[in-house]
Amino acid sequence: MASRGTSRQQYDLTMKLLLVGDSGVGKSCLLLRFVDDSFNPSFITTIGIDFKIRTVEINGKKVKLQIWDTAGQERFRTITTAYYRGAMGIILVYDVTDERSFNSVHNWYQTLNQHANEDAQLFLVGNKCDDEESRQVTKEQGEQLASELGVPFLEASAKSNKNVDAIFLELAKRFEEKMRNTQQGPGSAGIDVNSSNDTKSSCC
Amino acid sequence: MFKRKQKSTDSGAQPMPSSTGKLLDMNKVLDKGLSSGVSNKSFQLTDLSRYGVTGGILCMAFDPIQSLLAISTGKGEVHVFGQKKVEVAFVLESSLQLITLKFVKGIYLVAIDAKSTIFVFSLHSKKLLYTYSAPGIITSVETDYSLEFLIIGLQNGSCIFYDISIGKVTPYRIGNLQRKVLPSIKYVSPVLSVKWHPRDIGTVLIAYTHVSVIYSFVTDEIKQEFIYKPPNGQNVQLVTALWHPNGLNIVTLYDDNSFVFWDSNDGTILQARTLYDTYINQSTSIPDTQGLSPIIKISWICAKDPEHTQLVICGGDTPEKLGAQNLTLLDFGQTPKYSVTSYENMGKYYAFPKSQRVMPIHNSTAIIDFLPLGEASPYFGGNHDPRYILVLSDSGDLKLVSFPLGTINYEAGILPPTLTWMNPKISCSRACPVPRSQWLGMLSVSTASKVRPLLKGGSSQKKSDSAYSLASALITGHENGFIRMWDASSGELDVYSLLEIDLTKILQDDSNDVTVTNVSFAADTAELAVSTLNGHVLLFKFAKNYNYNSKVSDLNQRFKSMNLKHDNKDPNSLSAQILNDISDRTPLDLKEGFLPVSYIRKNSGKVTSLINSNVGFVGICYESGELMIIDRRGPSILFSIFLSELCEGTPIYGTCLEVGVMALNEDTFSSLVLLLGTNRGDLLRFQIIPSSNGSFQVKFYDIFIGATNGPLCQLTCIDRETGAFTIATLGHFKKLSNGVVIRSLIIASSNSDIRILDNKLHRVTHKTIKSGVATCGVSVIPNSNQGSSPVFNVLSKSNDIKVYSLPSLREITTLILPYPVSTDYLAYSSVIANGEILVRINESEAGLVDIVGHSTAELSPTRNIDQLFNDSLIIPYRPTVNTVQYLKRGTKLISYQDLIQLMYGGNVSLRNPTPDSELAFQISPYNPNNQGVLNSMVNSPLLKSPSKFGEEGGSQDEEFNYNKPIRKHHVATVNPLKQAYRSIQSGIESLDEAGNDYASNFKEGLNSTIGEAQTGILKAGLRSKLGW
Repeated sequence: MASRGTSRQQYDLTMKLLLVGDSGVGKSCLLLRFVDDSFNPSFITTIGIDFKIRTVEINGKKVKLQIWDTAGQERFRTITTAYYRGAMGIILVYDVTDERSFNSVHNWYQTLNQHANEDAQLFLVGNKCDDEESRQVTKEQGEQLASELGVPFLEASAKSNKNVDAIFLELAKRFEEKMRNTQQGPGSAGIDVNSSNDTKSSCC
Repeated sequence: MFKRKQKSTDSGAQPMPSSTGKLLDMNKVLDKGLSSGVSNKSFQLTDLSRYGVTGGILCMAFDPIQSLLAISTGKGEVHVFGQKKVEVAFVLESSLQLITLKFVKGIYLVAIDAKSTIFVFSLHSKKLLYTYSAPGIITSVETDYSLEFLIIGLQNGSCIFYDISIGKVTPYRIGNLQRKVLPSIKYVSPVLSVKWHPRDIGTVLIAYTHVSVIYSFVTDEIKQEFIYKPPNGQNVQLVTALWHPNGLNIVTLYDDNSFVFWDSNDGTILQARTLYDTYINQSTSIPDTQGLSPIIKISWICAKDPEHTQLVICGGDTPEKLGAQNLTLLDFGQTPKYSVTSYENMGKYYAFPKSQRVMPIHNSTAIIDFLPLGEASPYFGGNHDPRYILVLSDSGDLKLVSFPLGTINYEAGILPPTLTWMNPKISCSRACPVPRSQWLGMLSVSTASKVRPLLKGGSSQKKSDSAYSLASALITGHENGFIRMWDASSGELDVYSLLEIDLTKILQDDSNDVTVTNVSFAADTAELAVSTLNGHVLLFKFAKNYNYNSKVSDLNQRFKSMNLKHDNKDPNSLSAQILNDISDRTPLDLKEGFLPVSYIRKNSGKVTSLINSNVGFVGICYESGELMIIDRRGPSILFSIFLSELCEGTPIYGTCLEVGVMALNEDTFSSLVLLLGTNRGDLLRFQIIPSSNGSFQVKFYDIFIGATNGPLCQLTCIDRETGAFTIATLGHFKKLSNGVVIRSLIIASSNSDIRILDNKLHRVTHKTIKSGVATCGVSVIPNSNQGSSPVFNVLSKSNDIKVYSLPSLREITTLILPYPVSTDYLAYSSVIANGEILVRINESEAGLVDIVGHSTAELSPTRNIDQLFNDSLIIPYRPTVNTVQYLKRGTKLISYQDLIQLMYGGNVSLRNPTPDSELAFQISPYNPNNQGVLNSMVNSPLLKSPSKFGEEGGSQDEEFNYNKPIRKHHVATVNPLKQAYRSIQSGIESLDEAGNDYASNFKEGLNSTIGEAQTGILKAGLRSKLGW
């Protein structure tokens, strides 16, 4: 073999991120765009849970993002636990060209309240904003809902790569800041690989 | 005692009717004796067939060459399945639990029980060949399909080698190597796992609690040891160790759910990770795996090209109390080329799989094992290119998971009928007669015939044919919303004549709610009604699908929308929409079959009884006491009432429904009458009459309180003059307007008694069955007067079938069932009008018996007449070691003959050939006579990996600097022997290129030739070892 493995630290923080929302709103597309910078317009249903990793640099720190994506199977008891366990960021996605998916946001919000970590950071995303012709949900409606729920909001497009990185980076930034602020008293949020604290969370 | 008493009653000339009213009338009926001409000589019990196996499944094994599947059951039986109905059961005298099964050399099946006893069966003679008790507790075993040696890892840390072909242990042994490597650890480690090198039969990987070692038989020494010390100082113990399919890397699993990838040659750690965390050896934090279920098994799976690999991991991602519930797939893709990649890149490769996916199995109980069904070869631990993974749960259920998709596959036709029958679990069953011509027409659209079955092995010797003009349809409802209609009339169940409905597809719901609780089939109209656990009812009609589109795939539809559910959340539509049109839910790819028509959602509790009559009326009884009658012409809700409105007292609900034709009381015309039995044993009659607007109306007619003692379970009606069924049929329906007067007898039964009433609800006969009634019904059987007569059959709870005359209910005969039955499921049995009875023996097994001696004697289910072993299927070459490994690292290759020499210390004369070992050698890749055939097979396009055709696949990853070697010779012109020799003679660099291309025919050819070429080297090695 050419060289020995490096012993350099690969990352400073690990953050678990989830994508939730109705089927077909483009969760997998957002994930694929962010992780692989690719876009596949054909509809492929995710079976089970997909899991991807991308490491980003925030304020000089390497944050490893573990991103989980699923298709309508969160409701299974055995999945729910694995899925929501220890999630620090949750991206709630709807499709601006499908009003029904927007109406589902409330339901999803309730589900999250039930299962997710209390201090998990939420982010509301209206996907497919490149398709103005078919738009059914205005940006203002999205903004209004986000302020009602008290969560940040962006319209994005996995297809045109609009705001995709911004969403993930913003979540990572908020997470890094939170971790920095709680550095003195860690334990409740995320996994700081330099500390040996048990970061178990309960969310069954 | 009981029987004698019964007889003495029967001998009485005048059976005493229990009613005082119409004595004369009833005597007339009794005298006539509908069952005249029938005597006990008319009956003979024939055990027609059995479905399913007894006891849960404990373990399984798969043979891709002979194409057979074996399972062991909780009752100590081993069932081996082949194509279609091929099934052989090995029954051991002891009922010890068999926890391991292995197919070896095409002809042997090795089973090991929980007490460390080894059983060797011959698939040829279908007999037990050898039994051997290990000299200690067996903690792990390893076999290779091409070799007769079973490696037995013992609790004391040593390995012994059992020769399956002669049933004896060889003199060869491996001591406890952990003691050698880590003498400071006083604890005696068992052998946790032992695995043959995937490409070298002279090398094994053994895992102990604190060290894994690669051990060479040839040099009798440890080649490499692997000790993992987490940086956080945690004390972890090994669980198992596995080879990468190319043997160049290994993975070791620890009890904290971490797993470590190593270079197998020099012991460098490439990657240490958990399911979700990577590089854990470079961080002092404790991996976040606490409170999670342990990983119970890892399999290193490879695609047809064995350099494309995936890890399948069971457990490790659910709370400990739930046990393992999911499989996780880490798809690594193409392995970087060993000679050009770095440790760092290999570390990355294992840290960032191409895809990582959780495959939810959602069992009711935890997963205890899984078995990838590798079909490309029997090598690589059975993990070579599986299409399916069998998943076994704690409750003994098998699930078939499509790989790598991860969907649970319930389609009938893939697994053999016995396993299909049990998979998924049966929630209800019912048998009914169907006119043969109609049945055959329906079965001709069976979709199961389009499925590619898993098994192709064995050949069936069973012959069966039915003499009846009525076929028996067996309907099973399953836990996951499957409804299957089987043709039970040909004796054995046949998955190729099977109709299947998948409610999850139609309702787009795969929760527990869709468990099927009741089915009712109307043969005349080919209509089916089904109820589910959540109290909903679906109506189907067998018809052509006019929207059929063969090009549309159904995959996406399944998860796409939950429309119906969403509507359900709207409070306005909930109450308004009880009867929903779901015809648009017809799967587009279904050409003809049971098409969904209506979906009845009523918030009235569970469905306690359901009938789809032959005349288009559907009756539904709910837990709440509600009765709803639906007219399928329309469809429309015809009638709805709470039974408590009709009678007072304790909570009342319907338990049984039937639609008959009869003249009510003194009527001079006959009506359609819905008969309803209740949980209190009452019988209610509802009259269905045409109304002026062309539709129908329903009127409550009368009630007979306490017709039976306890809940009324079965209702039927027959003509009191002719004994013919007066259950409503289309024929009756048409005649009703002519004013025919049909005097019916209503037969009602509970769990303990039978009551016959006439059309005025006057008592005719009553009989208490002391042994209890599981199910009962009328069969029409041939009588001595060349005609046929009805008799009443009772499947009692004491393992027998009692046959009674009608209407006097005099016992004619008692037939003892040929097997013990569990009373818990017996109620799901059915008496079929043609004289057959479906017996639910227990949860997982059913049987069909015939009570009339008119079937031919050949029908008896002599089970083990099928043939399993096929002596023409030659086992392919075992993959050989990479030339890089061989030349660069001095791996000493060992031939099959050398291995035998080694095992017997040169004293091979200890082995005498047996008929089975001779047959095994006949198909062995080590038989020189097979080399010609195998070499030509290697060149056959069928056996080549897809990447060998034309373009090289674009699957390689730039990141890893991996360039797939380009073949320099056209496949078709390569002579593997020549190629191999040439390669050995040429330099290392050129070998490197071919080196990683394991699947190539060149490599497989190499196996045989390198063996010859290396004889000299090996002889020397052996001599030194064995002291020649």
